[in-house]
Parts: sequence; C-alpha cells; structure tokens
Amino acid sequence: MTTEYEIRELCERFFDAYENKRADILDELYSDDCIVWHNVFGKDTTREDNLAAMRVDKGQRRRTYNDRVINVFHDGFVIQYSLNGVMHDGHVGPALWICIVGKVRAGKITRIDEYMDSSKFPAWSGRDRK
Amino acid sequence: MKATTVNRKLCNDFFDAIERNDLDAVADCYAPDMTMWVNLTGTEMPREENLKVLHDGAALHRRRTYDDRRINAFDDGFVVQYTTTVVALDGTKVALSSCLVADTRDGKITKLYEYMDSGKFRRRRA
Repeated sequence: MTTEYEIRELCERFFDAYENKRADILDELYSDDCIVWHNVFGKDTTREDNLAAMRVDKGQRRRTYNDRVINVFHDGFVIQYSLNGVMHDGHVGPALWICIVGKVRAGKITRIDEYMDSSKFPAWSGRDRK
Repeated sequence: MKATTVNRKLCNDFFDAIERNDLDAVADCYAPDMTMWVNLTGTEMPREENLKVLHDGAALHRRRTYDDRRINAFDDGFVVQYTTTVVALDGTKVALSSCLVADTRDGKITKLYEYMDSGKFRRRRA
C-alpha cells in the first residue's frame, strides 16, 4: 500500500517531470497499464501515446505547473494548478486552469483524468493573434 | 463517522438536491461563507448568487441529472468526477464530463471549484 505522503510526493514528481520534459522519469512513474483521459477529447489514451506526445515539440519554450493545490485520498490524488507557457516567439498568455485526478497503485500512477477549458488555448498559445 | 464518510455523503446529498431542484437542501449543504469558482470565468461566485443561478437555470431545461459519479473524499473535502446529463425543453439530451473539487468544514461545503470544457457547449450549438 502506498501511504498518503508517498502519493503526494508521486504527484509532485509527476509534475516536475512534465515541467523538465523528463519522459524517462514519467516512464518510471506510470504503471504498465496506465491510461490518460482528457475531457477535451473524451477518450482514453495509452501510456505509450502519452509519452510519445510529450516528446513532440508543441511550440512552447517552457511550461511550468504553478499554484499546485494537492489533496490526497487513499488510492490517488487530485491536483488543481495553473499551467503557464512561454512560446518559442516569446508570447506569454494567460494561464490555463487545470484539474487532474490521478489513481495510484503500488507507487505507480495507473490513471490520469484531466479537466480543462479548451476555449482558453488560443490566448494561451498566442494563436488568437495570428 | 469518519470525515471521509461524512464528505462522501455530503457530495451525494448535494448532487441529489440539485437534481430534485430542492434549493433549500442545496443551501443546507453550504456554509454561510461558501463561494464557488468556475474555470470558465476564473471568478468567485458568492453563495446567494450561486443559489440564484441554480434556481434560474432549472427553468431552462426539463431535467438535469448528475450521473457516473466517481467520488473520492479526504478529511476536509472531496473530488467528484461526473457526467451532467441535461434534457432540454425540446427533449434533446446532452452530456458533459466535469470535475468538482470541494473544501468542507463541519459537514458543510465552504468552497467549490468546477472544471469543464466550454468547447463542448459551442460544438453542441454549432
């Protein structure tokens, strides 16, 4: 069984890995059968899909996961945070407000459910200026 | 009763009350200083305004249910992932996946944070 302290630390490591683009660490944190679901697309994606997507340049110079508010329950966590991005052209838009619910088993993340508002993407990425 | 059990029941009582359009029961779930924040606007709504929105919103559709509730409770709150199913006045049905995080104190909700995708509204209207 994973303790609540360990779950909280796992959550922080997960976001630090994303911030530092460390797919190798994410690979360690995900269980073999990990599923990632996004409310914007409404479908499950596999761990391999998620890791492959992370390696693709999405147009940002830097992404930071700020204002992290974490609550832990017996087999998972919920984290509310702000995603700030600096685009390659230097554009900094308003932060995206996102919530993730993570499920944990034996110290690994088995499921991620992500909730955000897709209407904020254009301003965040600067696409609304083009 | 364990705090997590109390919070899980509070979550279900809250959604059941909205489904029944029982605003007295909804108000009973809220602390006097309760506020609600929604990711669509990034602003906080006070308790009375939230109750008015629920009251006015009920007239805009035939039925609203909160389905597929996945509740995880902690000592001072809960998170619930759910599908809001709305049957409009013309009988059409739409569903929206959302997530709500609640802070609680003494068996009452003190703060709600709601996360959803407004892109889903636009696609339905298109």
